[in-house]
Amino acid sequence: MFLKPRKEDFQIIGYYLGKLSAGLGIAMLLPLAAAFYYREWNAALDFIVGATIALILGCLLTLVRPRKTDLSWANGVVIAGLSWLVAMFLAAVPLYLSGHYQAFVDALFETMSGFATTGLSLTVDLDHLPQSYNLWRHTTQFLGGQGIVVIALTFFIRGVSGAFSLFVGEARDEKLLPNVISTARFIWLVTLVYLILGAGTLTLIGLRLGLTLDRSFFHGLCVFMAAWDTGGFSPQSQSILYYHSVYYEAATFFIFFLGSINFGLHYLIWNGRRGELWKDLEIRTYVFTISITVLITLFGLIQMAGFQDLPSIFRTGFYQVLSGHTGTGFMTVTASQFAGWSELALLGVILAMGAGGCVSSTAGAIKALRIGLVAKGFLRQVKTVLTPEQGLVTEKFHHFKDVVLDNRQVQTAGLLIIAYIGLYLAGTLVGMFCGYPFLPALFESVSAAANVGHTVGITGPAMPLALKLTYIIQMWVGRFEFLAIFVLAGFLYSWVRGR
Amino acid sequence: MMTLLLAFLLAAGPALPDTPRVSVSDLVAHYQVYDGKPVLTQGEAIGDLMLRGREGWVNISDGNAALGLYGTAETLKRIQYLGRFQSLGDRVVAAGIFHNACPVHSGQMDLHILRLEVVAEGKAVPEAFNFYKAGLAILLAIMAVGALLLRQFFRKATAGRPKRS
Repeated sequence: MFLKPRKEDFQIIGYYLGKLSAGLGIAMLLPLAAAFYYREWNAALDFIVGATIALILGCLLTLVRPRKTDLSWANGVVIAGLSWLVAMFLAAVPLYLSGHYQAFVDALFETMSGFATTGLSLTVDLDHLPQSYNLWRHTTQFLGGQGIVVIALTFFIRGVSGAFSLFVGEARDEKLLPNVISTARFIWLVTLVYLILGAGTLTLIGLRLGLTLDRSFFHGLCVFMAAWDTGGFSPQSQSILYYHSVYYEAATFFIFFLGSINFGLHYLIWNGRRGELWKDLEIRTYVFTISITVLITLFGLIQMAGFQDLPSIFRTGFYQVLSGHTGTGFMTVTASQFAGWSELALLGVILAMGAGGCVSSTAGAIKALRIGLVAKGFLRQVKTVLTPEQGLVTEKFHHFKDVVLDNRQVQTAGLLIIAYIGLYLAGTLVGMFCGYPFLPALFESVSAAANVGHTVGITGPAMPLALKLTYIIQMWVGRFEFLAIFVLAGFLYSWVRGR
Repeated sequence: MMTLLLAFLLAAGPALPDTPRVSVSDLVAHYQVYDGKPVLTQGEAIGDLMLRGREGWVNISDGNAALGLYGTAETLKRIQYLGRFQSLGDRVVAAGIFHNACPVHSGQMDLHILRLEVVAEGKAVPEAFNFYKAGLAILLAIMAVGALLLRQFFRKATAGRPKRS
């Protein structure tokens, strides 16, 4: 039996959504400042419009402070799920006003793609987009990658009982430090250190490539945000191909690879436990799936005509697979080149995208730990069959500490893998209904649902509305790893049918 | 005009027999057809002029697709305007060898230019100030201040209410 939500539940949800709206309005001050700096006056007006709408909504939703501000588990998860929808609408306002989107739904697509760190884009004439809008696009990836709720926990929500439910609702489950606020702040500390190092390195490389200092810094900052948060937006329409530089590729590779690693592991390594890198089940699985998908893709590329030497095949294949595996979506090939790859090479990239990075990172998709757990469960099952009846088979794995494998872990991981495969296939089916062949439809669907951003050319302003809406839902559901969405659906059901 | 231009390019520059005139979009979309062949294409120079010693890169776009041009710094320096916000880049015609997977540049798609001409100079395109948006922004800013005051009023009015257990 479902309990009908009380008036107080709605008040609490509205209250926190109001706080998040106001927070988003404040976040728009960054591109607003950039608009003033670059003398983009109409863009500045668009950000004033966007920020004030967010602030007004925030004020109205927080008019009355609820009697109790502590969060129940379900309320926290519902707030996390809804906050991303509210953020998608509010962040889309200035982008739509820019005139670089054919319809409001395209701007919604862009902001969901940003917050979900996907990187698929519907921007028209990106190469002439004002810098402030470009900064905002990349900022949405930064905010989404860090977690809108993590940011709220860090800056706006203090001392609230039940804050961990917000955290988990946003598909994060690491609790590195005694409380969730300290954990959120540690994530920010790590990010700020890498921001300075990463953006600085990219700026220096940009200068060597011939960019002016201000352009190099702007590109370095935007590309860092998109790489670290495994987002995949880029300031120019050609993605990383724009720079024609192996150094830029190498730097972005290191940044997005670090971004795809579990924050818990970052924490342990920061505290001197470097040995964890070699023992951890998740890292071992990650290295294994990367190796397999790189090999498949390279074999696929070797089969093709076009490449003349192995270094070219390796550089192109390795970058595209790693960018897909980490959920980033940076490309050094054009969409039409991708579409022309052999089926084997495309399959390698699809498998890489579908597998994804590590849990508790900014990467999306199934994730290495779950694949490792299911593999361990499978191994244990084989051992059980081969062991005499009286024998007891236990399987251990190392993930921050030595853990005995139990059935619940394997079941949960297995269910999520099935759910992701279902999500990938659902998008593929819609793509095929819209008239696209199976493989491109599968590629694009996995790219959206796994929050990657690689494209074989389906994604664009001209694609059917049904597909735009499907990919928006896939990006949202994929980023939240289903939990918040199921709880939100349960909440709505109990509102209508509960007692 | 394009015929005259092609004739000029072919007469003045290195010999490029049977050079097909292809748009950037066609080159990018049908790269297999033109791979390793001499082509003549045109587009707007966009973004940045990336000079690296005696060589360099610039990207050109026809509005639908973009392509990297690789050439000598001396040739690329002819480009004065680059397409960005409030700037229309120089429209250039480039003749050279197109590569789907360039062997010199580790498999990237590019065009090694043999000749490049600026056929239409770019210009600054200042954006007109939108007074309608300004009015809307002022109105919303006033409403935001009103909402903030209303929130303060409600907070004060409900601050003393007894809490239920």
